[in-house]
Amino acid sequence: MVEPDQRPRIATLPQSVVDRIAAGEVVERPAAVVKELIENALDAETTRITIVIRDAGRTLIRVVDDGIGMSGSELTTAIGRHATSKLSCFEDLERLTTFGFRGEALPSIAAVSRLEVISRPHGEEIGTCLKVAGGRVEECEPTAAPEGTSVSVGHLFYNVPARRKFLRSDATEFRWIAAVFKHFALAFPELAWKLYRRDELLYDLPSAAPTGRLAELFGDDVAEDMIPVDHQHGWLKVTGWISPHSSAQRGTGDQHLFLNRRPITSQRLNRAIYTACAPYQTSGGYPLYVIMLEAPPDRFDINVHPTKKEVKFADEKGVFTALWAGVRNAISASRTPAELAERAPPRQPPSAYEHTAERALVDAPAHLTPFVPVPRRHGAPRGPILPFPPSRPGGYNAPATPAARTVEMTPTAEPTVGPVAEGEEGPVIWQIFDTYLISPLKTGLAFIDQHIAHERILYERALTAMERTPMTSQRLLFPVTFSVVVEDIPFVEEMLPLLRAMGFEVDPIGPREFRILAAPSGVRIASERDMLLGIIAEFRETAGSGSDPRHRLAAAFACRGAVKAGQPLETAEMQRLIDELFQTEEPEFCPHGRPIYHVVSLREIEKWFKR
Amino acid sequence: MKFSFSQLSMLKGLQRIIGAVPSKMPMPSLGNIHLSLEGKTLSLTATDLEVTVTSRVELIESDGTGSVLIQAKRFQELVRELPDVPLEIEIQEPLKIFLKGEGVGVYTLPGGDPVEFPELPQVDAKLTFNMPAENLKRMVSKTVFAVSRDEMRPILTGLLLQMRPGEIRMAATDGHRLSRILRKDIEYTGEPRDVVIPMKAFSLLMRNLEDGDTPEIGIAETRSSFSTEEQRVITRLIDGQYPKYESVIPESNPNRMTVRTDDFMSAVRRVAIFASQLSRQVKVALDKTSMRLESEDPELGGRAEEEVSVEYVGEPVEIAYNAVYLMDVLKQVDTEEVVFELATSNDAAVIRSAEQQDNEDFLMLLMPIRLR
Repeated sequence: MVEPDQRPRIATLPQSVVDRIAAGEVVERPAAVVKELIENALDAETTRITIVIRDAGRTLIRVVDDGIGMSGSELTTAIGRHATSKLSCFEDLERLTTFGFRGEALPSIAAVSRLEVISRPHGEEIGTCLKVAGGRVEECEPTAAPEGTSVSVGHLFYNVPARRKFLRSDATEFRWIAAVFKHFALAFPELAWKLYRRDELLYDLPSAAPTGRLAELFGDDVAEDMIPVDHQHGWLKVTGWISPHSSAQRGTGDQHLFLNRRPITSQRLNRAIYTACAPYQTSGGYPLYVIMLEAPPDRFDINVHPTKKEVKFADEKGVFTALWAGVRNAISASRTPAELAERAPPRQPPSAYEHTAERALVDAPAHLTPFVPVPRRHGAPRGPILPFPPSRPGGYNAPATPAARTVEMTPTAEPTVGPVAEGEEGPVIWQIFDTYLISPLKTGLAFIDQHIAHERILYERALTAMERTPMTSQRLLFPVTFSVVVEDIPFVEEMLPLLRAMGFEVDPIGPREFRILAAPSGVRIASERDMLLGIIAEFRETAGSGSDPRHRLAAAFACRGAVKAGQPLETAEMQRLIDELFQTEEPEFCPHGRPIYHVVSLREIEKWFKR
Repeated sequence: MKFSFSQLSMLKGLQRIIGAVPSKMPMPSLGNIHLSLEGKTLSLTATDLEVTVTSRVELIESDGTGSVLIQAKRFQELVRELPDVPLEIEIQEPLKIFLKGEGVGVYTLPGGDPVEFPELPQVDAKLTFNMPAENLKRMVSKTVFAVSRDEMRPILTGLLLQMRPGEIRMAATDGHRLSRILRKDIEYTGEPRDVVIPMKAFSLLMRNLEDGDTPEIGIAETRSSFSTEEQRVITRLIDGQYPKYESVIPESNPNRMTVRTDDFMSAVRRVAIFASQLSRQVKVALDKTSMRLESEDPELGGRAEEEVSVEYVGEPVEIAYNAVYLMDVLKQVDTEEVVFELATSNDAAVIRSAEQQDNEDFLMLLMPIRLR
């Protein structure tokens, strides 16, 4: 039992304590101060921002802008909690286009530091100098000052020892600050930025075009390597740059994600970008990217956390998909050799119904569209998100001993006799080891793995069949029966409707027995039973992966149905394979993420011969 | 060993067997032709181990007996280029083949030891019967299109030959379509027997059969032979159980469509141009007096529609077929009109010539594509 007089009594906290607690949420570390001050400067319509940091922000953070400035009275109000110029009623929250709005930044910082603000509004003769220590105004005097505002935060956390203890090493804290600086410098290339550490000018970035800013921050080599992303998806616009490979040594520092130019962090959206890049990465590490999302303010909520780094979208999945698609399309487009892509016949003109889903994303009010399935044309995330156990016995017919085989290299195009008129020469394709196709390009040689190329084609075909148009299905003269073990019955039952869409007509004829009445057009004759049993086995194996059953089924179908390594192909078959491959969404990678082709460039070949 | 012959007779003999020389050689000796001299007869043999073809070449003169292997391709090329004059071959130890003739030079080919050649298969025929070449050719040509090209199920890559007292049948199916022809005018008195013969044997045989020939067909346990005066084709039989095709032939499809074969064929050919590259689907809609054909290419765009007048007895029905299969079937019909016996859009169509030849019954089955 607690004695009555020992019981802690409930009492209102003194304001100074409240302020310090609240400050902890906004101002966790020096980098957060830098961020808040930069945002204020941006909201003040500045054209140049100069930042001075001493001792990783412990002793001084100064942010100087040439924005609209504040008068003396505005300054004192700004120090009061929830004072903001950016919001006057609650409804304004839904229309926010400014960075700050909570009115917490300055008071929070003021509560835990010695703050000095010098500001002179445009057109005013004289500025004001305001000094605050631990939240108490100590001085407010007119002073001579340039137009704009300079905020100096000294001795951060001098009155919050606990917080001070939690600060990391100077190097780490400064890295955080530099990251914030980089974020904003990337988002606002049109502004001039300077960053000083002590008296050393680390960055001096004049107003520049976005690509110029990339080069300044990452170096010309990296900037040149970056692939532009430009993708409009309903109300969401995805732009920016991505470099899937060059950041292995870089760690996670150089991922920059913005929403309406506000730096944000989102595990989920990061993952969208990572998975989009994953198949293109040759080594581990993270991709380097600068990705800007643009969305109307009523589509998301930034007011989740005082630091505003987290965002909630009304349509998380849709954003994930759009981001994934934007990045994947950009990389894939940049990597498909133009020649190969051109060789494929043009894709069919999109019919009207394919865009209905997209239109829904554009037109429907946000609250009605929790998630809209994305039309395939925009590359819904599907390829590499399908986890498969690394070894699948009998899955791939990789040649056992390629060296032991004889190389038969037969040009399959008709030998041309006499001069050939320009453009009349048919494309030449060779097959080697009965496994790889080689197609000469103007710029080199493309090597294509026939099995996984076909796998990609069948995978997309199966998905189309399940999502849109059922596959045509050839009825069998001799229905084939098969039986499964009891444990597999639930899987088969889950699969039946999907199998039907894929062109397999399967009827139960007993408790564990089934009969195949029809198979998808193009499935090898008499292979129906083996194929279906293989598909069931694979479908069962991937049951725990959590992937969409349709994707699992499509992958299983593709793997089982694709032409195997070691199978000789006719010229026409090879040509068709290549044509169809480059009509797929993802000619680069098989559904399991393996590369489908490799180009040996002319340059590389020339190097062999020291040319 | 020495013999002389006319260029033409040797060339003919070579042409009969050269098709059996495998293009990809599992063993090097198969690239050779086995020459064997016995009295006045020279036998040429080539084999790919599955099918063995022997042809006889009439000689002008001969001396000695024996055998030798000769490079198949080189020898044939050489004989083809020689003028039609008497030629002489002499084989000398150690295995050199000299060829010379009046007005031509001297050619030396390396010879091979006949021991390296696979032993020639013997056919201990339990059943034999004779069949006019015309009939054999016709039966093969009406069924061969339905033979499966896919090695997945080897039994379907051969032609089924069924011997019944007073009746010989041939059938082929790839599981999507079927063709069956039977003749009652062939004398067969043996026991009923079914064998499946590899396609390659027939294509070699057909190439060289001449009208008027009456090959003797011999059936042994694992092989069968087709022999005429000039040649003998011996083939391995395909092992396994051929599907019981008789049970899938519908006995009483209620609907009956009669159409001019050429009209139907040319309409399908045109409409097929717009069929999907993948499924080759052509839709057939039948009404009392007309058949509407439709196709649409979802990959490349475009569609086609044709109308053909027909005589149709039955309920209106829509059925889809693979256009390639449909054309294959129509190609086999050599009468002015063709009859389709149909049931629902899921059932096999029975296709027959409007008039059957005497002593013959020929029908084809075609499974539809699911309508979508």
